[in-house]
Amino acid sequence: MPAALRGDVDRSDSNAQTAQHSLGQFLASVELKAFRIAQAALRHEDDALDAVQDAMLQLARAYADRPADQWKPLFYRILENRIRDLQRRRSVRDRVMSWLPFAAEPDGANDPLATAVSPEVPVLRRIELDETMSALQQALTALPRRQQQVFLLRTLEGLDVAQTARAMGCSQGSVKTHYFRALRALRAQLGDLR
Amino acid sequence: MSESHELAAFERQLGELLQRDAGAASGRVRSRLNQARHAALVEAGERRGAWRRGLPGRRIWLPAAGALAAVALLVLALGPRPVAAPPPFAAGAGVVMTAQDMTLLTDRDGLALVEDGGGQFYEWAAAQARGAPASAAAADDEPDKNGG
Repeated sequence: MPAALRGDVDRSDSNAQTAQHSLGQFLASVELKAFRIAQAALRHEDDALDAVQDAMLQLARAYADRPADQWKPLFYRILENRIRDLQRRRSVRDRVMSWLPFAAEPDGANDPLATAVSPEVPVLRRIELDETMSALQQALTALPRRQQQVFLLRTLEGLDVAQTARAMGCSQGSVKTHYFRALRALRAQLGDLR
Repeated sequence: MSESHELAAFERQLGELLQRDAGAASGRVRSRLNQARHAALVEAGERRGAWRRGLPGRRIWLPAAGALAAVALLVLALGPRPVAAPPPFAAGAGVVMTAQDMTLLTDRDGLALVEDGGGQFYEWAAAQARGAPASAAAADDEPDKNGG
């Protein structure tokens, strides 16, 4: 192989490794937040994990070559679509299951890993966090879905108004309205947080 | 404190709470997300690899496609041409041919009349219509024409 061509291949290898590394870092930075957002919408851990996994694969498949600053809105747009698909599928499944004389055991119900908590958070703080989070989750669940998603994308993921609008496929004005309504509703339900 | 300030403080508290909660996922969730991330990276790596592996292939396929296109153009240029449709019948500028005209043109009797000196007859008939005396030749011939 000529030296010039070999140099091109080496540079291309290096670029590919850098891109791969950037994508890995990006996915690691969003995965837990994305899981929480999907879980708030789907209210089911495995469905939320499936949604996040599908969104990751789709981003890697179709948009890995895009500039890294475009990944976040794209990723959350894919996740949003996936959540909607899963909700539709689940509503059909629930309708079918309601006709059957038995109820399916949720996957991993007896899995010790499922109940294991992260060692990074002390136990007492964990209990306190659990109580507050439980109240917050209930309040979030009571929100209309669009308000819930806008609120989480802005507050948890830290997307700005424009990025949130792109991720949700709506106007910036709509994002602002949903966000303000969500905040007021949560404030009315939760009062002052500890 | 105004409502907007209260809301801003509340928003900050919620943000911190959600961030802390997101970091406190169970081992199972972390494991699944880790696997999903690796699967996505493998997918992205394979796609990049496939694209790069495709480059030598392209070096072969592009000239082949070019040669194929050249052959196709040559066949189009030198191959049998389609038979051109006959041009539409034009009787002359501003003249519209009718079915009756076509019948007259294809009528054998009419053609025989013209060939047998029918021209003189027409000249005589035209002179009669104008009320002028016909030419001598035409007048000489006229009884013959009338007589058959």
